Amino acid sequence: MANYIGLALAIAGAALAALLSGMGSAKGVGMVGEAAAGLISEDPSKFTKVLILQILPGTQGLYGFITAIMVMIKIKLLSGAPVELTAGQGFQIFAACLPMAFVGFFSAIAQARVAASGISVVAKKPEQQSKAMVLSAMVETYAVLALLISLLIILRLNF
Amino acid sequence: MQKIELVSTLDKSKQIIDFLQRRGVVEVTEHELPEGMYKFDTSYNISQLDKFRQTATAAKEILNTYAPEKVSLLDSFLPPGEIELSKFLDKADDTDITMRKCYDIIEADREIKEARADIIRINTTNTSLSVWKDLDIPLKLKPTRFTTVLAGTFPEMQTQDSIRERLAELLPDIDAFEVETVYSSEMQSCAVILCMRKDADIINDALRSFGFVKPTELPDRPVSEIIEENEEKISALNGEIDRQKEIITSYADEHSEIDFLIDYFTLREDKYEALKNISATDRVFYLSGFIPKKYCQKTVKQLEDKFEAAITVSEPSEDEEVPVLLENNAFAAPVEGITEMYSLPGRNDIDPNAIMAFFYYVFFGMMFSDAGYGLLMVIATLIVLLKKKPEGQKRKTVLMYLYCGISTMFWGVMFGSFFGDLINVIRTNYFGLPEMRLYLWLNPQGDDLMTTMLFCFLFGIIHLFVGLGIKGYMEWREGDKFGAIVDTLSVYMAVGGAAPICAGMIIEIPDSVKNIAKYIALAGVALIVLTAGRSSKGIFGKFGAGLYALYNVVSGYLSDVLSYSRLLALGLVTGIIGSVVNLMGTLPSNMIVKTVLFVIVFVFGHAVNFGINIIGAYVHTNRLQYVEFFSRFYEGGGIAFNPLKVNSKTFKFKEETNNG
Repeated sequence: MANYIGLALAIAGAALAALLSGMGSAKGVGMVGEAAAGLISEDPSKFTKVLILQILPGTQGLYGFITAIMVMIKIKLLSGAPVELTAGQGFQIFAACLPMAFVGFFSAIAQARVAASGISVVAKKPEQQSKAMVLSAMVETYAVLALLISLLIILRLNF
Repeated sequence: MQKIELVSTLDKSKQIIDFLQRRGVVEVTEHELPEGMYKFDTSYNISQLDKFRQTATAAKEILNTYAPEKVSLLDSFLPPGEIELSKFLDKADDTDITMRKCYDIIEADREIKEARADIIRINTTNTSLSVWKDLDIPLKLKPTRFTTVLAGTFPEMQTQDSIRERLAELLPDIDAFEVETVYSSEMQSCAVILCMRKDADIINDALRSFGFVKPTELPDRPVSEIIEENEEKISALNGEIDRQKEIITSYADEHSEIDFLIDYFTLREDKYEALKNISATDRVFYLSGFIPKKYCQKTVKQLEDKFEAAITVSEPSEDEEVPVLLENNAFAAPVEGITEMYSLPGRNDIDPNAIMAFFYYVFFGMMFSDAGYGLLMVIATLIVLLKKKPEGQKRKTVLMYLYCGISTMFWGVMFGSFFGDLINVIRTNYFGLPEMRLYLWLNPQGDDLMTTMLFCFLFGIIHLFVGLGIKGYMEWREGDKFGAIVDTLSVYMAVGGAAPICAGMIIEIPDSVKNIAKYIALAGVALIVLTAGRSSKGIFGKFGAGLYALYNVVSGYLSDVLSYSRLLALGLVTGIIGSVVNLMGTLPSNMIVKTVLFVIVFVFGHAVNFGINIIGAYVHTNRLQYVEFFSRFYEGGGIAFNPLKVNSKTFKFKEETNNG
């Protein structure tokens, strides 16, 4: 029974990382998309420029996905014969997923706000698009750091 | 950059400006009007040319809507075609013809817009009339001798019976009327009431008491007839729209002509903008400007040979705002755009590109870090470079991605990623071979994770130290030699000494090294506290400012160095997603299903991974340069050198100036 609790906790952690980061990114990409669509209706030629801005808050979902996959590889879930985990070990993995899950969620939305404002930069000064990108990427730093911590813990856990 | 001043006879002024424009190396600047001279007023010409250019641009946009120009991605890298001066002048004579075509296009577009507006208007009328379409008599019917017709609407659902009942209630004495509803819905009902002429007013009042309103417009023909007629009008208008569209699309081959026209007007507008800046008397004119040193001698000689002109070239004075032209070798020039995006070097700055370029390529490669993706970048950029021979900024951008691609390949080999773990996936799935070691140096996805991170921090420290070194060099150059040495050396010692101690928390560092490092770090700290506050007043002020500087160094360098962990993180992301893509493609056990799925997942998955991570690598490399590197020494704020030149997308002049 105890084995199952450990495994369940680990899977819950993986699910949470994919879930929250994915939700954040979906909301974020959606927000920028709405702003971008407004600009496209005026000037369709700026499509590629705003598309890049729209992608930016999408990386958190990807980071969450990676965290989840790394957990699955760690507990050998993909091979179909998961390792036996104690409740403690399961909780360790669960905790390791939390930075990515929460920072992913909130940073995606914060980044989307910057990117959505960046759309108006592209509207008024299209040649300054890269600056809007850099502003938005500033927020992503924290998602990168969270991913790094989650990955470091998962990779360094020994069992 | 040199200051150039030129005096020549007035009748040569246009020729000289034309010549300078074709050479494209002199920025004509405004100067204080010398006494007894006047300026040309070219604002009329400029506004006129601007109007023409806008007309041509509008025509081009319309043409693009109806007959878009097909430009392949590869062709967009093509440099503008060369044109001889004489041919250019011939073409310039034909601008009237092209201009007329532009007017045709704009006129056709106007017709289309008008027709569309008409269609909308007619449609609105038809919609409002459609409720009456079942009425087979005209709404406006002449009364007969004894009878008349009342037609109108109610704002709610009414039926023949309900109207008749209401009327019977309100007017119990009158029964000589007939009611017919032609349309009825929740929102609106339309009815016709036939009644005696003498009763008409009373019935009308009664009807109005429950919402009866006569239509504002009463056509004297049956409504269905009008609707039909309107529909015919619409189809006629649609035919007109098609006809006008054909007119526009018949100019589909004129794209290049109109592009030429736009460039031609731009060129002349720029020329008149430059003419605005020269001063003249009745016989001579004077112009001043800036010219990059390397073009100076040749241009001056050409000017003196071709025209009778007196030219002086001098160093610009201290208080003059000198424009900046970045000049770098083939290795560093590609990243000039990245620096320009931040800010051009200011008066006291050195051009950071030569140093930045190296770090830029290395960091980009570490973040993208997949030999397969790097290979794709190299192939794609080489195809563009060799096939299309782009020029100017486009060439620089392509070169930048070429170098970044080479670096990406290098780091991919170092960290063992080629389309993720493709090599091992194929080995194990198709040949039954065991997995092999893919990495040449470190395996960040395995045992060397922490070591890789430490190396990222090390590269970060080197990057920051180089930035600080440049700051020191700038201080030295300005004469503050003591400051240059202590400001850089103290931080080098403090950070450089602290680094091995911090690294010792993660990996094994010999105690002897740690001991030495400790003393170096302490010496550095002491040096900071003692010297960083030297510009403050009083002994306590100096000491306080020194402590504050120490705090800044500790917190600043700690967070800046940790920021380089993104080198590892983004590198991991590329590699792991690549491997996950491969893993997903090979999940089925049936060989054929596996192969088919693998090919699909491989192409799609790696395309997505490539796209997302190349953006990530680009953006985060920029960030490391802007935030961590430039903040160490770079002030920026320079103004770009903007010479009078042939500002054209479609053509460039054949270099005839070399021999004459």
